[in-house]
Amino acid sequence: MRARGRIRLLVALVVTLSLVCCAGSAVAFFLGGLSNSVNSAAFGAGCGGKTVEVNINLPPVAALGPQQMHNAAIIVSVGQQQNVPPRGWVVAIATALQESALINLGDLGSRNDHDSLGLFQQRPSQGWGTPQQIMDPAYSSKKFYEHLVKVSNWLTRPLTDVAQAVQRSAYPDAYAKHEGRATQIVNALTNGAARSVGSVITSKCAQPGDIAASGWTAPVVAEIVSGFRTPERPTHNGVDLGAARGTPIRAAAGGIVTLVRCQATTASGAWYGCGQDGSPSILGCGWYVEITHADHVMTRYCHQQIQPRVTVGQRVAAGDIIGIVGTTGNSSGPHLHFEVHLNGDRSFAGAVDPVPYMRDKGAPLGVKA
Amino acid sequence: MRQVLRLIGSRYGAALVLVLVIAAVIGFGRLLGGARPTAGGYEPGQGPPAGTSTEVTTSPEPDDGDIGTTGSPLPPSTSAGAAPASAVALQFTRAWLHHTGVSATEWHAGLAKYATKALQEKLSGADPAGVPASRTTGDPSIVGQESSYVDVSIPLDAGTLSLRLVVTDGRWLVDGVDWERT
Repeated sequence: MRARGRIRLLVALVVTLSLVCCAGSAVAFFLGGLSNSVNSAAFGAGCGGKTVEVNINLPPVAALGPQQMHNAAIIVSVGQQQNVPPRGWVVAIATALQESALINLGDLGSRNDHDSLGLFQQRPSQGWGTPQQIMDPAYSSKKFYEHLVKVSNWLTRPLTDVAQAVQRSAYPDAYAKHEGRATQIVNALTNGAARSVGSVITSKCAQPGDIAASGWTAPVVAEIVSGFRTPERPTHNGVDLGAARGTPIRAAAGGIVTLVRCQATTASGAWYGCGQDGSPSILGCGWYVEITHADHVMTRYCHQQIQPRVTVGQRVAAGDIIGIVGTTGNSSGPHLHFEVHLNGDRSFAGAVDPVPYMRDKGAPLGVKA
Repeated sequence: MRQVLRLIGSRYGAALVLVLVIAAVIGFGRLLGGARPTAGGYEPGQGPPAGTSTEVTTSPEPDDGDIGTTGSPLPPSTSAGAAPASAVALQFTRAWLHHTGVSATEWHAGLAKYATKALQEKLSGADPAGVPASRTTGDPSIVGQESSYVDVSIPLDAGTLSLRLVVTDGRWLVDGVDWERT
């Protein structure tokens, strides 16, 4: 009996001591592969953290004049003071670009037949404030943010929908086209805040898989196994991301699905189809999707396992699942072939290297280093 | 020594041995495997590839992307006798511009005839006083056509109205409204 008691004591001691001293490192050892930290140097650019100073000479960006830059700085600065996450600054700048081109507009007289005023074209008659208040850019910015943060799911919905929910304009889709330029402006003023995680107030670089304040995210979190137009593959117009078969593919940004189809033929042009795995001797993208985003940017997602789960004409938000990774078409194994095209050009000429493009949007491709 | 043997023979001992064995197997596996987790998510049953790199292509095809066999997209199918997209766009534009001397309710009702439900919802709460133009200055032109929608541009006195039309129940309806001031 005494021996039994000693054994219990011994077991209890061993268990307790190992929990106290080693549990952390044991867990880290076993799960380390899942929680590796990020080598942010690999992604280059900054991710915010800079408080905007309004009363300095700001370097002009995105073809803005000094007055427009000054107003942009006020909008971002007010957002920072009110602890609005950086995604809100991008929405606010895009909205002001549409409504006033970042010029603090007074009454346009006969040119406007209503009472809209200021950077956001707010109306005294609709309860936005007195004309004097609305003509103060800091006041009008504050009012904009007050309404913005009350919009349901504003952090993840497409920019133009969120802006429209605040502005109630007669042109609900007009804000989308300013998203890229607004991102550029916010990044210039804050050293890259639009590259941070969109939903947090403290500046934190977006990691592969996060949705950045720019509204962009990586389609899959996977290693880049083949680059854009390498010497070996000069006509490889995208990057190959080595995700496993079945990995969900996410829309890289909000937009409208403009193409869904199977493209798989033999070298002689005979139909091969996407009901089976492809191979290097088959031509084409396999099951693939194209999404058209704001600013005439198009993204393409090839070799999907099965018919994509989106349909042409469907609107998607950043991060929405559009299909799963496979190896249909011209492919020797499961991966996602991902392309980015500019200027609405679907051809070879329109393709750009997705790696720097996505990095600049704060949605780096690859895996956590 | 006998005490140790007895310990191993007991319930506690057996449990301890099992824990150690499992830890050794997992730990050894991670050391050997280099532990490069992929972004998970493969379907259960399909099984993980044995190290994704072995299954993933790194060469040899020159371009595994689009091979450009599209041709021009087919226009979406509308019912026989349905008005063409540009005509619907013009009717919508006239209703949109008709914003003075009407109540908000009348203005919304005028648009609803040519707008998808989604657009009607997005326009809810919009005040006709906010319409920034008063007349057209030219004909609508089709600026983009995909298999599921067309983009139509209409020049107005104060800027350009851009409408996206989709086919709903066999006829063209406006689904998106963009505005650019000149």
